[in-house]
Amino acid sequence: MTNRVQELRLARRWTQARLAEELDVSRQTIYAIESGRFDPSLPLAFAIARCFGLQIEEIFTPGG
Amino acid sequence: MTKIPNADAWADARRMFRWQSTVSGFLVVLLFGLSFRQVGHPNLDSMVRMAWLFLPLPGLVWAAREQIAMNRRLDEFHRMVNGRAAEIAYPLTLVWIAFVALLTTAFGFPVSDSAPLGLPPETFWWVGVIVIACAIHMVAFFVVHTRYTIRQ
Repeated sequence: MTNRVQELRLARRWTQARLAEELDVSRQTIYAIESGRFDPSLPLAFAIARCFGLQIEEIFTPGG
Repeated sequence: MTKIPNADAWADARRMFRWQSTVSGFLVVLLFGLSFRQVGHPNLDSMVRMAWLFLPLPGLVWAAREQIAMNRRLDEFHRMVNGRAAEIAYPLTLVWIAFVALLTTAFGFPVSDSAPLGLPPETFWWVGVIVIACAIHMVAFFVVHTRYTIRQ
């Protein structure tokens, strides 16, 4: 699964730590998601989408 | 490679660290060491032996509770890392214990004439077996965590 989390985070000039704080997860989790090594659970994916004000499918794309 | 700011590294550590789990872990090791040392003596009264035998139990219960509490504090990524580490460490630990059992059956348990810290020699070797089992889990955790978090 590919995602636009890093792109969206950088557009807001947020650090990984800031996004981690917003989502109540660790910074390593954000890094692992951005690098594509870890696919978040559905609740976390929803939280990420809500955080950026987008739909899940606008952030996460199957494949890749 | 992007340098992680110190503040972020400390925030990560604070999130992961729980002093009770560390203290309870050390306490269990201490109580086990003490218990091992005492039950290894051949001339103990059976009641006293039983008392020493059950000495580590309260520490074990506390450590288990703290481990569960710490695991519940982890986010889903770290739970996944812990799960993957256990997937690797569990069969390896079984292999290690089975191998030690095989060696013991074939050649007898290795007993030297003396052991450090006042431990009975056989106890010293058993502690070694347990320490290696713990080391297997630590190495598995390190390998899995590194695989998912180190920039490449």
